Amino acid sequence: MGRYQNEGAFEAAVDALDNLLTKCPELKATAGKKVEELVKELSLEAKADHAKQAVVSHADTVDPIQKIKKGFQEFKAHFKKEQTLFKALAESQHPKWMIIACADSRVDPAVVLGLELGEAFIIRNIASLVPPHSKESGHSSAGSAIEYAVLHLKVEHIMIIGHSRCGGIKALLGMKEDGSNKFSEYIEDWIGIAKHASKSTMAKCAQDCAFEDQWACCVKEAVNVSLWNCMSYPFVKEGVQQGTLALHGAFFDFVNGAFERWAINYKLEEAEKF
Amino acid sequence: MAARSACQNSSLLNSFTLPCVPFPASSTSVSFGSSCRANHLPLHVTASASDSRKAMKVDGTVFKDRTVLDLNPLAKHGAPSSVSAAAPISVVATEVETLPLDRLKTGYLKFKENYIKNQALVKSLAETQTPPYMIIACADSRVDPCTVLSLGPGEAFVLRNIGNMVPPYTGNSCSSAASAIEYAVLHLKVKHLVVIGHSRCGAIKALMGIEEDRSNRFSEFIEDWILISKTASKKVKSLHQSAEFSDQCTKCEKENVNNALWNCLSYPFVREKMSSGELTLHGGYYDFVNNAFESWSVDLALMSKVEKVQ
Repeated sequence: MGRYQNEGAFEAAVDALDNLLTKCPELKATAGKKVEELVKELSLEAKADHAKQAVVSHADTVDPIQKIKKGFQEFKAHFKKEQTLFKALAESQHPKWMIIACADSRVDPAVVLGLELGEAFIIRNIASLVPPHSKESGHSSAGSAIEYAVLHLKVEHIMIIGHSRCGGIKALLGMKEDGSNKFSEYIEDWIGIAKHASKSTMAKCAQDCAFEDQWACCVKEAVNVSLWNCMSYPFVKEGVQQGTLALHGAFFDFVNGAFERWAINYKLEEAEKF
Repeated sequence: MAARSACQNSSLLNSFTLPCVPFPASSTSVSFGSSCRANHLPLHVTASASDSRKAMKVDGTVFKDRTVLDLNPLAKHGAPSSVSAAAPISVVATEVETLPLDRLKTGYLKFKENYIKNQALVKSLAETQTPPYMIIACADSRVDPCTVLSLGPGEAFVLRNIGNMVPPYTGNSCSSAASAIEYAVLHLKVKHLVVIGHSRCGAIKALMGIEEDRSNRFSEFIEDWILISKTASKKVKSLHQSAEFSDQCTKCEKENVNNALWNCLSYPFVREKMSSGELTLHGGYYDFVNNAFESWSVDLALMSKVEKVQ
């Protein structure tokens, strides 16, 4: 669309509004409110664009390889200070945690939870999903990682962390049952792992629930789906039953600066004779 | 950003030391208090009467700590007579259990203290992410890429799995790597895709140890996953037959990165973006034994020459 075409469209819309309000002055109050909302919305957009440009233009001006080289030099200083720790880590790792987090650039769990290297074995994928245990899948990124963490590294805790404004979960909420609005080759097939989260969110949230609330609710439901899918792996279930492994769900809200954690527990009681 | 690096002290955790700005009242209407209650797990249980976990309140943020059932990992499926003997053990177990969580709580609160100092960044990231990098790294606890490369929130979209592997394009559904690469390249429009391998990688060591006839199979999922890179291990074994096993592993760790990059190229959308110059591929190798990092770029022109010959 040409520049003048856009401006023309805007002028025409303003003219139409003017004409309408001249004919029906009683609509002025409503119109005023709507214009106010529009200005608010556009200001946010303008701010976001400006901030986005600030980030993007910074990325353009700094050579990306130079940036990570410099980043590594900064880390090297830390490495030199912690000789004992890193010498031990060079030999082997004994993390107590396995963390499953989203690939989103804003939610690196080591950064957000202030973890030192060696503390957590971390897998990251879109929306921190864990598919259910299945013998037929060709190869499983989550299954192999969980198997390694539980049986070989013998981690004591698995935490699955969802987060605010998750793009994957937003796409999940927008997916139609019949797949008629499919937009991707792989993304929707992956996030379909959590399709029951979408259903339970709809059931839990009232009709007039704000989208932001639905979104957060669905993220947490998806974490729960993944936690239960974890339990479908026999080695996870055994660990939980024996008390050597604890499962946790978590939600990191970077909009409001909050972090919540909850646990899943499972205990088989001794059979009681009637 | 320049100010940020000037202020940066040697502690990795404090990546954003900027002058303190008060955290504004939230303008969004999300109230987590009420929505928290609704999110019980779908298991119908009678919650224990005494919830020994208190909600921690720091700086007006409630750090909620809820369990559906009391966490009692050492409870025996035992007869009532063992209850009194079990009681002291379960108290100790609860104490031991909270220590790892306390560690995370402290870490988070420290992160938050620094993060909220940079209000412009907080606000911008709340709206959207525009990371210039996608990084594919190993799940190994010693190689968190954002820590090792001093990358802050918003800078890198990160996929991590065992052995930093990328399966080739098959059109097969339900792939974590494929979905992440598709999202990063087509939706986030990252400019640089970096695959980072590392020293002493358990996945590569296991891969190099797999017998031709798979006779020494030890896992349900691990081997099927790491065999994505079987061509890398075959190549190293044939080219460096007389090398020490540990040297072979090091060579395979790097060859595996190249294999992952090659597999990335098998995705049409990756090739398209590379051809148009919007995306560059890089390989990286983090050696935590010698505290060194190397990187190399992928030349598409070279790649397309190879394709033509085939």
